[in-house]
Amino acid sequence: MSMTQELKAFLNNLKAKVRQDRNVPDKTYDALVIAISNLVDAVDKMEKAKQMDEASVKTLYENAQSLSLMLDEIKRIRGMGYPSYIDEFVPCITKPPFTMPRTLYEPQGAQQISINIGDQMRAERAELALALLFPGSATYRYGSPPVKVFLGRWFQSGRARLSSIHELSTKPEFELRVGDRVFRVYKPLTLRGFRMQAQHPICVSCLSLSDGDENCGHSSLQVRAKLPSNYPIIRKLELSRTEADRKTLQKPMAFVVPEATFLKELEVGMAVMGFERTATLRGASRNVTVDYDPPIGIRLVTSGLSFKANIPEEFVKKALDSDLMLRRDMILQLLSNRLSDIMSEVGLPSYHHELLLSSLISVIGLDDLIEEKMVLQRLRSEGFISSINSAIDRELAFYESARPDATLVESVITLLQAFDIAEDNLYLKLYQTILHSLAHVLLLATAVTSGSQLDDLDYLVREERGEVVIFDAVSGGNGSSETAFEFLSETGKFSVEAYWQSEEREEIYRPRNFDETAFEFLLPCVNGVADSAFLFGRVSPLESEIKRKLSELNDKATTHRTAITKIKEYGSSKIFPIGIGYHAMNYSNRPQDADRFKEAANICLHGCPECISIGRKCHVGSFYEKYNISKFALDEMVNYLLQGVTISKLSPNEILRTLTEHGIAVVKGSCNEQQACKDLVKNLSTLVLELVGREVIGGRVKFAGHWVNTDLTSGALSYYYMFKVI
Amino acid sequence: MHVTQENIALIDVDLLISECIRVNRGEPAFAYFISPFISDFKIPTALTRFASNVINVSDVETLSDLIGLLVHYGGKVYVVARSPLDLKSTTISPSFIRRQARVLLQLHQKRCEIKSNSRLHAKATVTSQGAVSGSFNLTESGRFFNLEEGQFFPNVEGESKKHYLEKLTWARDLFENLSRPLTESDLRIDY
Repeated sequence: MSMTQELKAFLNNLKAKVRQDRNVPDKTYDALVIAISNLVDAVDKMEKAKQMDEASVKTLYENAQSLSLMLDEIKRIRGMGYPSYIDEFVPCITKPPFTMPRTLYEPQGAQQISINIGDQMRAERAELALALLFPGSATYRYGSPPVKVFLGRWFQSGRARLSSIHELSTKPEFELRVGDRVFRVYKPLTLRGFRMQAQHPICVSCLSLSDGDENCGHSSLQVRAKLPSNYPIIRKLELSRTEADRKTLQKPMAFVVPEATFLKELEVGMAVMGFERTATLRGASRNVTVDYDPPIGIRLVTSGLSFKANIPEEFVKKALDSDLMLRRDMILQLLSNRLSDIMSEVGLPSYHHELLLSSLISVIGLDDLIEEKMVLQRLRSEGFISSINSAIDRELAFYESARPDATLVESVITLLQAFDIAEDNLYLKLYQTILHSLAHVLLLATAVTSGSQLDDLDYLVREERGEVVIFDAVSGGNGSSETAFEFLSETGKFSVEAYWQSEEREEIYRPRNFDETAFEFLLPCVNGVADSAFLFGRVSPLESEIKRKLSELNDKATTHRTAITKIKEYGSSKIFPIGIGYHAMNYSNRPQDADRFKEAANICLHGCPECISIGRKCHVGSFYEKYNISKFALDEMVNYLLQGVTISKLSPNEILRTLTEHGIAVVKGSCNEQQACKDLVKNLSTLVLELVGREVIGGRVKFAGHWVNTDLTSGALSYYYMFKVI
Repeated sequence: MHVTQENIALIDVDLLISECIRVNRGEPAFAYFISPFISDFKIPTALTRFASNVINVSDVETLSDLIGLLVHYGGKVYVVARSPLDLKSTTISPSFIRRQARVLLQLHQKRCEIKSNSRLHAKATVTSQGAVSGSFNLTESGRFFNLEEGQFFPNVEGESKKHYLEKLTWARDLFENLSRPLTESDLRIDY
């Protein structure tokens, strides 16, 4: 008997005794009965309270907190003496982190930013203002002619000084570390804007608008009716989190991301570091980056998903040590990132980045597979700066922009010469690149699974934790990450009895499963397969989607013949560096030939819009994205992680053994001749027929995947067939 | 291979996925569905999960989706079933007959070739990769709920190939010579 039961029994006995005792006066009897019954009630309540789970207590506590907030709000409103207080009261009804506007005409969101357009004042949701109304952007949101948010002159240094133009918070909202630099991020309180003219003269050299705000000193203006496209470059920083449920992912995705956690509440610092401007001038697309001084931003409270990535250190080392092309490309990416940092520090505008990087590649000889020691030796060699200047002069013929300031170029190169590329830097760079590429995959998979637009979501990469965080890009959340979490990791098992009892039969709408969607993004990019097959392949894939892309490429074989021949001469190992700038264009001085060469050389190796490139959504911006992601490295890692379940021998027994051990098996076959490929495919199909439906470890064998890849070096075609026990 | 209600749906789906891969590669692909009664039903998620960079199966929800996908890729689909009109003279419930008419119309709209045979009792699925025959109708009950039994004959070298070819010849003959094309009046059920 428990203590409470004993107590209750004692009280009941006492009650009976008192009732029978004639010596107890009536008043005392009444008082005792009431006291006993109160005591029994209290004991019952205590017993119930003991049985309440933690979640109910939390809900009660939150409700109490919410009521307390409402009471505070009522006290505040009473003090105002307004005739109606309902508008003031409404927002406090919602439970944090969700928010509700006071009226239908006010922006939603916990934070607002004022927009001052001369005679008009507007209030906008803070995250919307940062995404759409950042300095330098123009919008038709307030009717025509469009409104532009002041930016100021930036062309000399590529940096816009915002504190003298807009009203910013006096204290920084948070600090953000990017590489070695620490930025203080200020919250914009009021952003100033103005109505633009109908025509928009734009500088062909630096893309400054000649609108009385930006006006550069260049003379090469082009008048356009169309506004250039502007995209903010937003960096994110996690400030705090509250973790909720955790799920284990299914194989094969579990090899790459073993688990995911739902973050019920996530506070993120969002900093707009600057913006990218793109315009098509004289038939060519031009792109510049403008940095803000200081960056502007807000704190956002939302919900999200945390994914733990499995990037084995052993793989990183092995890949860099054994693959010289990957090693050289990582050196190039490191060099590019350092160059852009130095250019920003020195004040050399970013539109010279490609020209400078291309010149560096040609002078250092980075088209070849050289290692970091040789790179540093050449970088620090005598007469390096003068060689760079000559390379710039040679290549400048292909650019619209004016020659970069010679003094600034010298400063940039001098600082770059002090740059050290140690072995550890390379390991770290490859690790960062893979984690960042994986973040793009997880962002895309979350968007597809939850049926959201990319703009509904955002991501941040926690390198020190090997973690990717995907979150709803709106204050209070929009349900995208929660929906994706819901569709993550179904058991994947099938039995008739379980199916009878499942609710799945009754479901009207079935979204895509997260694990499977994410894994499909990790498969070889069809664009890349077609590109590789076209340029370096020894056999043509017959799959219709690849054939269609190959046929498009074949159409270009006539118009781009010289360029294609030249690229084939360079070979597959040089494909990444020769696509940067025009240094590899050594057969013609015609800009059209140069553009054709560049177009043909830009094949999907480290990422394209069909696989992991997300353009302006990338946290380094679309311009620098290609120096910070690598689909090739990601593919190599996935192959490494699948090694334990990958079989090259086309033997049913071998597959069944692997299925018994791991529950999954991937069969890989390669061929480099058409007939051999036909035979291989036939044998693989036979394997499917021999295995499907067979009983293994209490489940059945399911044909669960099929993908194709082209080996860039050997030109061979590889077929993969995946089996799972369900 | 012995087939029961435990693995028939899995084999069905994998056979159709294999046909999609074949036709996607430009090879001839087809499927004969022979079943007196036909209904459309949901395929459990575990069976349609398929990771690929060349075909897209994951969005498939129902059997007719999967059949439609095969036709979309360029595969040929032939169906032999009981005509809803013929079924009117039996004791089968009107709602069941209406459903049969609806599914056949749906398959017709998905560009499947449909024929009927009033004496049909046999059940089989024959593709270029293999044949399944047994007691199961192409309905949700036949695939998941009833106790069923049959055999799977993969089109691979050996004894199985002989049986497969027999089934294929029989299915072709049944479709081309022993069945009549379905007409509009077969599907017009006025209950």
